[in-house]
Amino acid sequence: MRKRLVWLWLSVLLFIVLALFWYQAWVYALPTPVPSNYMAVHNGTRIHLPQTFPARFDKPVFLHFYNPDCPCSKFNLAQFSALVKQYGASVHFIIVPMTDKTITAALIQKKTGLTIPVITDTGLAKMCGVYSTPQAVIIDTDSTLYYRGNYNKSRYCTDKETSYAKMAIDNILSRRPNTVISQYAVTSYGCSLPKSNNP
Amino acid sequence: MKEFNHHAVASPSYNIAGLTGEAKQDADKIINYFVFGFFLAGFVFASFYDTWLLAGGIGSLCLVAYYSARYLLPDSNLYQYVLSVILGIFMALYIYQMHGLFEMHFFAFIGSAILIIYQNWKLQIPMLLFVTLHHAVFGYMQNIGFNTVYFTQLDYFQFQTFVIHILLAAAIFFISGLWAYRLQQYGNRQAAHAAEVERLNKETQIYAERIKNEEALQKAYHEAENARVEAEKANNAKSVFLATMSHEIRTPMNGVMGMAALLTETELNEEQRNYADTITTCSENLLTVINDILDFSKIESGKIELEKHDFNLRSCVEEVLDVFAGKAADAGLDLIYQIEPDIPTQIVGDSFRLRQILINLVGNAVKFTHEGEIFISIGLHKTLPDKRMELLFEVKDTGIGIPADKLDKLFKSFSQIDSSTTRKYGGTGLGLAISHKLVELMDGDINVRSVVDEGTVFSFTIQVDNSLQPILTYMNNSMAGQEGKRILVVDDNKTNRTILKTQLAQWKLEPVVASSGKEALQVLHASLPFDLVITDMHMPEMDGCELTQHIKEQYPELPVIVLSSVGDSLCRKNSDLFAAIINKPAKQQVLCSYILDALRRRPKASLETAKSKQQLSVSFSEQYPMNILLAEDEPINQKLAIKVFKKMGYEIDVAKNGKVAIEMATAKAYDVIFMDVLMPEMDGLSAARYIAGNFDIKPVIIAMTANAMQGDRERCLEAGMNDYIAKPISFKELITRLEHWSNHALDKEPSSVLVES
Repeated sequence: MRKRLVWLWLSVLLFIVLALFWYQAWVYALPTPVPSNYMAVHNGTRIHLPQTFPARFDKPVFLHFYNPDCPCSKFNLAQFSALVKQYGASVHFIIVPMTDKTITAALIQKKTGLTIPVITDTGLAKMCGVYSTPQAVIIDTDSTLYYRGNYNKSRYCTDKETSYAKMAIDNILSRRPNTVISQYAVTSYGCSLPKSNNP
Repeated sequence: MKEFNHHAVASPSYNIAGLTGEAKQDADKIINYFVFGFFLAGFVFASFYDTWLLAGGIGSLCLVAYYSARYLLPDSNLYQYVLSVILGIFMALYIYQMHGLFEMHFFAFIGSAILIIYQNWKLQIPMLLFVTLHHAVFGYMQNIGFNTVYFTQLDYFQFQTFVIHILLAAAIFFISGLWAYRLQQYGNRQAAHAAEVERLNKETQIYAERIKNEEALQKAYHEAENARVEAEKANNAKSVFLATMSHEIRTPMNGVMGMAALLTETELNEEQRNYADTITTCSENLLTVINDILDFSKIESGKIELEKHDFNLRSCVEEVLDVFAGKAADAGLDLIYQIEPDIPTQIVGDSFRLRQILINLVGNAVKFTHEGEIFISIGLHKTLPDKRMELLFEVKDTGIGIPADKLDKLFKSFSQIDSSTTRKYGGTGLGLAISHKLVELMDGDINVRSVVDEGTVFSFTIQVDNSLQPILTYMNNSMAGQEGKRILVVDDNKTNRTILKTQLAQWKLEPVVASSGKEALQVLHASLPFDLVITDMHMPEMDGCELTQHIKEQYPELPVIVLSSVGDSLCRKNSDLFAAIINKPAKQQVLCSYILDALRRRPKASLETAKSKQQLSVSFSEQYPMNILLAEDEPINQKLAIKVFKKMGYEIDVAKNGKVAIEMATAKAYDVIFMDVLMPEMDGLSAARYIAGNFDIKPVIIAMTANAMQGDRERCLEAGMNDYIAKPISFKELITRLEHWSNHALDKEPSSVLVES
């Protein structure tokens, strides 16, 4: 009898283990909830960047919305670094930290291992229609929104077929219209923005 | 399930399913470190992608699963299988936490290696199955589009890759299992070897112990054997000493007692006779003491053997009472006995030893009783199988009694109740000890109960056989025709009255009892006429004589039998009054005979009176003429024998040793030769052997020796002698023997042997 109870007990534990794994996967599989006051910004919309914006518009600008406390922001850090490395000469890459914490550009650069500009203007998120991290935003040389969306369908960007951000860069550099309009690309997945950063 | 229990029932010495005992505890301790290390590793990996929930949740669940199984079923090895599974889960966790980082798969191999510690190859199986299942399921899911399962960072997990992956994993698991199995084998061999060494050690110890014990046993045996030999030597020496002592004491005793007896045969004045009687009494007492010591010694050394022969129980008891009749009469004691009618008259046992017991007990009773009675009763205690029965003897006196705290000492050797008793009453204190031993030899038990100043009852049981010989019941038959005759019994002693009444009733007579002379006269007046009066002599107020005189005045034809004590001169003076005078205790046969005579109005029978003290008479030789030779080396004994035989009218020849006796017997024909056994030059046995073997006409040879030890009589008879008389010689016995052998001597029947003396 005791053995049977132990077996039953172990089965319950195994079930809970599996449930935890499932829960973890389920949480990350859900799209980020859309804030109630969210106002969508469509591609082609002109973006009025601040005067202090560190880049000129001689090349497309790639804004990486990044929250150091968001696990999802860590998932694709390697992918983002690869993009910086690959397209750094053709595109202005800028990191936009989205956090409540006091943070410096140097710290972000240290965390990401990249020496690209960091702009702490959280208003950019609202301006570009971003409400989650990580998110990629590409602004064309005419200051219009070219792409806002995910880096990859896979959380950690292992799926080459769905490297949406990379595909968008390739398109803009080739002067092709934006064809990355998949639902998986434009529906935001990841962490919601901190309260103070909400659009 | 059975597998899990196998461990619990495995032999402690030959573990075949894993570890046991101390090794298992050690392994569990080490595993504790690994399990917690894995748990902590989960947190380390959580820091990469913030998978704290998984690290804490799944890590904790794994620990709970492992430790709950371990503590809930401590005798089972189920928890080891649980460990195997949770190591797989940890691997899956790490892979998940590190987003399919390929290196995390190494934890499967780490887990596999860890499991070797339990030396059970089967533990590899659950983990291998888990890894296979994990890879197959998650690889497949990732391939079909569930790209968030975090299994691998590869774009596509090919089947070939999966197969190679699993095969390699299986190879590693197999090798780990193989090492576990080999370790287990080595462990078993080591355990078996240790057990064998332990067994050999134990055997060596046992062997050494056995050798030691054997040596000790051998030593003890030798010591015991030596002790036995020594004891045997001591016993033999004791026997020789006793025989020598017996001989050496009896030889002068023969002189003392014989001469004292001869002295009483001469004309003596009152004072001289008194001295002579005292010498006789003291000699007899001394002889009793010697005989007691010899008897006790024989019993102690186990040399006594009981005989089995037919004898008359009543006669045996009456003979004992005869011995004490005189003393009892002198002390004014009533000596009474009763044998229950359901006891056969003739029984089989050792009458000599029974007599000895009774003499001891009755002797004690007489010694310690100053007034009243001594009553011996014999009853059937129980009937045993094979026609055996257990008789209960009781010797009851009205003497001084024995204090309760002294009763338990009574049957111990050399024990009297206190030393003052010895001084006052004499005795060696061996009598009861001898009686006790003899009773035990007769498969019985002896007991005593006593009240101080009231009396003592010694009771004992013995087992005897029923006699197969026909029993003479002439007494009952001879009383035929006298049935219903009225007899008045007068006695102040109630016990006596009861016994007489019972006895008379058994003879179908009609007894009426009276406790005094006065009452007797009243009864005679008041009731129907009586045919006979039996009265005691000594009664208060009116004695037997006075009563008889009164009776004769009124009923001159009524016969009166008086029960008198030995040596009662009053009765003798008035003997004309009585139909008979019977000495107490009245023997049944004698009583029967006199009652018959009295009832039949026969002429007055010759009174049973005490025999004349003068036993030796020259007329004996005229009646039994014989030529007698005495072979005796001791001058005093020669002198004594010559005197004795002269008193009997014989002129005997004397030889100083066996050789001379043969020469004299060759020269002259003798009818009887009295042969001493121990003599110089040629002893009596050799002489008897020679005469028995070489003489055509063989004289009767009677051993006359102071050797009274067991076997002496047999040795004499074996040597060719015809009879045996132990010294000191009683005149009565001598007369009996001569009467017996004179007939044989005259008839010249040389080969006969007296079977029972």
